[in-house]
Amino acid sequence: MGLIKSAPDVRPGDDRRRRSRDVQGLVAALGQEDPEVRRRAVLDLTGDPSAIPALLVRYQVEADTAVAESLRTALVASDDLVVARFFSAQLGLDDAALRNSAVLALQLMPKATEELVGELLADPDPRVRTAAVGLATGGTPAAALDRWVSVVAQDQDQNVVAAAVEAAVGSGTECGALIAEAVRRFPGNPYFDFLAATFACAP
Amino acid sequence: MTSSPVLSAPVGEDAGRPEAPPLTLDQFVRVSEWVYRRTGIRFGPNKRYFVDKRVQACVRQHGGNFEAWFTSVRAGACTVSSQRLINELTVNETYFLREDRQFDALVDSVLPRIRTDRRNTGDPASIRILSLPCATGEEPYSIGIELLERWPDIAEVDVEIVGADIDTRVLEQARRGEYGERSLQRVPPAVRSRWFERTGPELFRIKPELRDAIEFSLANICESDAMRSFRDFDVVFCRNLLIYFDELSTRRAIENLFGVLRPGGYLFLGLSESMSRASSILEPVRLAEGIVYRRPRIGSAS
Repeated sequence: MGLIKSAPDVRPGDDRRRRSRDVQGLVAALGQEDPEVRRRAVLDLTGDPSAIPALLVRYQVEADTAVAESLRTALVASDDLVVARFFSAQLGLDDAALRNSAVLALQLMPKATEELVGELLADPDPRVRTAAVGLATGGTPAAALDRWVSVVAQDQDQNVVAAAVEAAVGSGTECGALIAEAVRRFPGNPYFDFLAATFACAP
Repeated sequence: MTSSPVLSAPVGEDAGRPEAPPLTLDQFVRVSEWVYRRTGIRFGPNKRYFVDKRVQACVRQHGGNFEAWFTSVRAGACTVSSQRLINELTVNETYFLREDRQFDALVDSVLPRIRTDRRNTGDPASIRILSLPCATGEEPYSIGIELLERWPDIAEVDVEIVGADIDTRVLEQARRGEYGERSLQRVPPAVRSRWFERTGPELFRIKPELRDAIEFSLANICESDAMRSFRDFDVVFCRNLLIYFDELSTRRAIENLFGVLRPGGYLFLGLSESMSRASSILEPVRLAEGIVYRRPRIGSAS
């Protein structure tokens, strides 16, 4: 007893696992009863674009936390437009936790999300537009500012406009004109009045 | 206790070779992206000088120009080139018994729990401990010393300690087990005399009985495929590494660590690290000595 030298790295079962690493077999493994088998199948399928539809299907029914987390990581790591559309469809749900979770996923998919932002900013649901304002940072800082300026000038919902102003202020951009425009469009809004007063006092 | 990007001078074995030109922005971006994909470490524009100097050293060593060198790195035909780049960008700095409260937690809280579990289940398996990244070996040797010095049950159970790192250069140093005074500053004289032998004026080497009991192995925490070789560990020390990763790399690394652990196994992160935002697959466990994370007990892999 005491300290002993470890056995060789490769443990029993690894060879068998390597042999079975065909995509079809791995997709089938997503439905296995043992969650660890499912989780390892997800890891094996990560990075394979052809597996994305199967991963998406499994993600929607997976009950095991660890497997669901692996599925989510595999999906967001793909930075794929289909996956981004899947998460963006959750931005308008009543469940705030799901909405926030979708935002976090989309933030990790900069390329695919960037492709969707214009569409999301035009969504009829103000909750989707509010989320989209925060996701409009995938391009250059100037492009993001252009989007926020456009939202402040045109969006009919004051919460969406407030999100755009907040995003712009948070980016460190000079926002005096943006705030003035928000005050002009929504007179009496206490948040915009507060921002205007704060910026007016700033040295 | 980490193979992490730390500023230090590039190795000097290329002295005399002609200077390679500085990287263009495009070259810097390509190298950074390759390193990110391989290691999970993101080098932003503020690290351009750091990357530049080390890439220049690699290009000089390889011969030819940047494109010839980078082709050999990307193609994977020359693993020496890619490994050398990783070695250059992951310089290590650590010492024995660093953040020692975590060793207290291991000996006083975690190992007794594992022993109790083993007794309850009748599982005769040895206790397996992984130090990842192990850098130049101070952490796995510290774990060995702490167990041999302070854990009474060590006489009754087998314990395997494995040190793993992405950097082949530090693994060689770890296997050699030779350290300067600075590394040993926190090791009490009595412990030093029991587990080290003097090999030079300010040089000490781990005694063979401890040195030969610890396995060192190459590992990349971001490569799920390669990490499969590491399984069924009861305890993993992964300290001060995740702080260098972005969120996606952190999630991948945590999933690989999850796979390394046995169900019910424990993970030690650095004192400044937390996984509360990154992932919820490991559950926090509050011990008297601090917080560790545990893999929940679920089904085992086939």
